[in-house]
Amino acid sequence: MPRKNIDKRKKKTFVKKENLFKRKKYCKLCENAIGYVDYKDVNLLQGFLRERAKIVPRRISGACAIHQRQITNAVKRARQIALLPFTTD
Amino acid sequence: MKHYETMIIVPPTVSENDLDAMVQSISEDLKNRHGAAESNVQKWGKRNLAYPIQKFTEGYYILCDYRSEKENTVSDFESRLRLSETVIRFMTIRRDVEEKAEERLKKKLMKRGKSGGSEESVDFEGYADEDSDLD
Repeated sequence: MPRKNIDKRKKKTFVKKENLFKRKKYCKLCENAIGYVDYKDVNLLQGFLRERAKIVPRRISGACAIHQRQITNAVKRARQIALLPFTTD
Repeated sequence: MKHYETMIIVPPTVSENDLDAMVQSISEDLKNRHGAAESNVQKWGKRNLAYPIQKFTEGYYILCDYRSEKENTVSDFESRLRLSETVIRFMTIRRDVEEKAEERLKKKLMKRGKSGGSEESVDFEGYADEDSDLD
């Protein structure tokens, strides 16, 4: 129990700071009601890649857990079939 | 009935005519030799590869969509592709599992959209709790 309280306090301060200058993140795929992320949809997937073709983490992309999983799976498939690079040199 | 999807990459050295013949033979073989119930094989066009495969920087993509009840359809088809010299890469996925998951998720999202609007769609675990703490 005491542990939980500490966690809550930490969260609170973090959120307050965040709210000063950051907008709340939301899952863009949920917004558009996308049920399945296809590995062939390269344009969509590229939006979730960084410059070096790494997958953008959830804390930055704001994607929900379900969609983030779909994105990672789709990106990994697209990499296998050379639609997306593993890395850029 | 299981639904599969296979993507094939063919090197750019293959001529257009050979490519068409290949598409034809694949769709026929899927039905006749490998025991697929339905098959839909399409050319997906020429694309630059994201990285070189066997020193090829571009390739033709072929997309095969097929349904089958037999267990050895995919293994037969893949072993055939592996033997073929005009295939540099292929990948097979199961679509029926994903179609089910897609339906489920879509239903969920539609429900959420009706009841709560955009606020509800931010289903970030713990996020809502943090907000209520602020008040």
